[in-house]
Amino acid sequence: MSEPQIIGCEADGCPVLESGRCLEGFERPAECPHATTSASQGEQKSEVESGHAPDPEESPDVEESESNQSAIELGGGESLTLSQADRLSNRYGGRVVLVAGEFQSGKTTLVAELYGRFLKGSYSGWSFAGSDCLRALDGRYHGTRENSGLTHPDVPRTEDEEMRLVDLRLQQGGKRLPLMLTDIRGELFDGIVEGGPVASLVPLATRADQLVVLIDGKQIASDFKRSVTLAWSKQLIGGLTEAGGVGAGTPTAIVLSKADLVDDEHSQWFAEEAIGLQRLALERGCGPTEIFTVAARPDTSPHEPIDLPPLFNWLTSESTDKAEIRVNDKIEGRSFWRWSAK
Amino acid sequence: MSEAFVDENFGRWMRSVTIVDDEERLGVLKAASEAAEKDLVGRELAVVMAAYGRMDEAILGWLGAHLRAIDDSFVAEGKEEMLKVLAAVAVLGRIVSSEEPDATLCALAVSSADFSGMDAVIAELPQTARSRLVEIGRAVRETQVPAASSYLVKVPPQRKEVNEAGEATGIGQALTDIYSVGQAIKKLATMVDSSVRPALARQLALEEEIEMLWWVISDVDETNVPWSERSGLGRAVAGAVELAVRTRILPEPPSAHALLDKLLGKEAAKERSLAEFATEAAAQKINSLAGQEHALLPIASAYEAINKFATDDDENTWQNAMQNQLKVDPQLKHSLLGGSLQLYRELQIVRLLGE
Repeated sequence: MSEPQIIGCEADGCPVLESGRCLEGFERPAECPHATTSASQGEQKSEVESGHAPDPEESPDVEESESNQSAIELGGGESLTLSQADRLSNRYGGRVVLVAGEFQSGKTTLVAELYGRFLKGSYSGWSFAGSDCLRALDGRYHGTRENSGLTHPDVPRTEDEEMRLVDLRLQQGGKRLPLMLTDIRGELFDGIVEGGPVASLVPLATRADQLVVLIDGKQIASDFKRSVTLAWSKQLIGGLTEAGGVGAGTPTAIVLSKADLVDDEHSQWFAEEAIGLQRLALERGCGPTEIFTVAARPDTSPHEPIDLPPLFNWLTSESTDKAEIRVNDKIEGRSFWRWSAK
Repeated sequence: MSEAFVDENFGRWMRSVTIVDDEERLGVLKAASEAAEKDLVGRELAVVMAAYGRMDEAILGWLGAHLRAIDDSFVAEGKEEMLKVLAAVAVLGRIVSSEEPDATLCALAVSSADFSGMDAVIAELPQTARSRLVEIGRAVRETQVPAASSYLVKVPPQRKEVNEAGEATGIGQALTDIYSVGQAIKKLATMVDSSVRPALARQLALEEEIEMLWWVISDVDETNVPWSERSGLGRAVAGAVELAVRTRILPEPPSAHALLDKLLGKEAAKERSLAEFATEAAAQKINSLAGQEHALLPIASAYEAINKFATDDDENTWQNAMQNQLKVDPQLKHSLLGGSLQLYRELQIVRLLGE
């Protein structure tokens, strides 16, 4: 039986038509699931001619199909589910940054403003290299911009029940950094603080390459609320580092958000207390733990972030997660021929 | 360092290209990387390039085929980064588990990639290759010989025609003695036979060692030009070539670094660009570098580019060609020792590719 002729391939960039070689490595390209052969095309054609039309009950409604033709849904661009993020990481890699904090502590704002830096070009030596979540990022950032029509910058609340991530791929020279920032509702972290198992509430915790613990500056600025917030943060660090949570050695950032709302006295107070949080994180097994203060989206015009670069540099710093290998290249005695008796 | 190192770290390496924990998938990926590791011969440079983030279609298809052999639903498209990590694991696994030429070639190629300023997708790959190059260089020069005691044979004592009791030695006794002597001779012959190969290997290693040691203390090079009259760059290039000629066993001995360092002396730490190394090599007419064009042979490729494109008035065209085609920066600076060692390694790679 002769080899069916290849007349097309759905795989992007496949050279089968030019060179006869299959991108997937099939020795017989006709066996590739992406290939369109003369035989398969002929089967489809004969089905139509013989009247074997698809079941009318399964056919789309005519009116519906006509109305669909007027609007082309491009799809995509939303935040990623875990399985979508997994597929994307197969293609680009993924450095997962778990952004943890209570409700309205500024988690989504931070992610939105990080994205927003790249709307103006490169930032801190890094350039934007792509995202499959542009719609999600833009939607989160849009409320902060003048052309949103809002009188004050605002970021939509995270509504998703699921674990979701947004990917922000960066590059610096030939180096690529595929950041995947979590976008998780604050209520889930409340559950952890209340003693719920991190493994089931935030299953992504175990995959985190970096941990950001956001502490709401607006709460810290209040004499009545700051102690409660601090206690909550301690519980959060404790809960996230339980079994099934953030892995040992995970670099951690303790970040005071909305720092523009915190006066000097309260900043000083926080700086002293944050050292305790840092110590706690290290005792709980976190990796190198640093303290930052950020105002990702200050209330006062022009609403440009304050003190974002140090945190950004921390996010983009090279991973130290690698095995120690000793190279024994010292000349110890005779380094040429040796013999031993067996 | 052994295969256990790969087993212990495989999950962590795959973590960088997956989000969801999936033990079954991990098993498939591990099995495929092990199969690929055993199938590296003939594609070592291409797989090392993939391990450094520059995967070509052929390697994409090759890795895809190995994965499909285990999971026939696997599709390579859209999994480029994962496949690069798998390529790196295959290279690393081969380097730690073997002393065969393909493992040596991989280790040398990794060293070249570092020199060219490329970044490995697995952070441990460069250090592992450096470590193993030293270990393999030692191991291939070690000779095992049978212990002296294994040459000991027992032969029966010589009998007299008539023993002390006045009994004559019978034919049966004589035959027994002959049999024992025969067994002893057979054993001795086997031991001598098995000593010949180690003796030859020992001789080869000794000759190489003596050649290199005399060479490094000599005041003149092979053309009888005093080393002191050569520039640092000239010594670096000529030294690498002459050491390569004296390297009878691949890969290099662990002391290669020290030998070149001794030759270069105080100049060893001075820096020159890749372009300068290649220009000096062209001036010295190192024919063994000719015909190469690969990012993992940066000095040889620059040498080839100079021969093709450089003129007295134009130093830029060949550099632009190299940057555009191979993505290697000819202006990247290296110490004289680093450049000399790189040239020495490229000559080893060229030799291994030709074998």
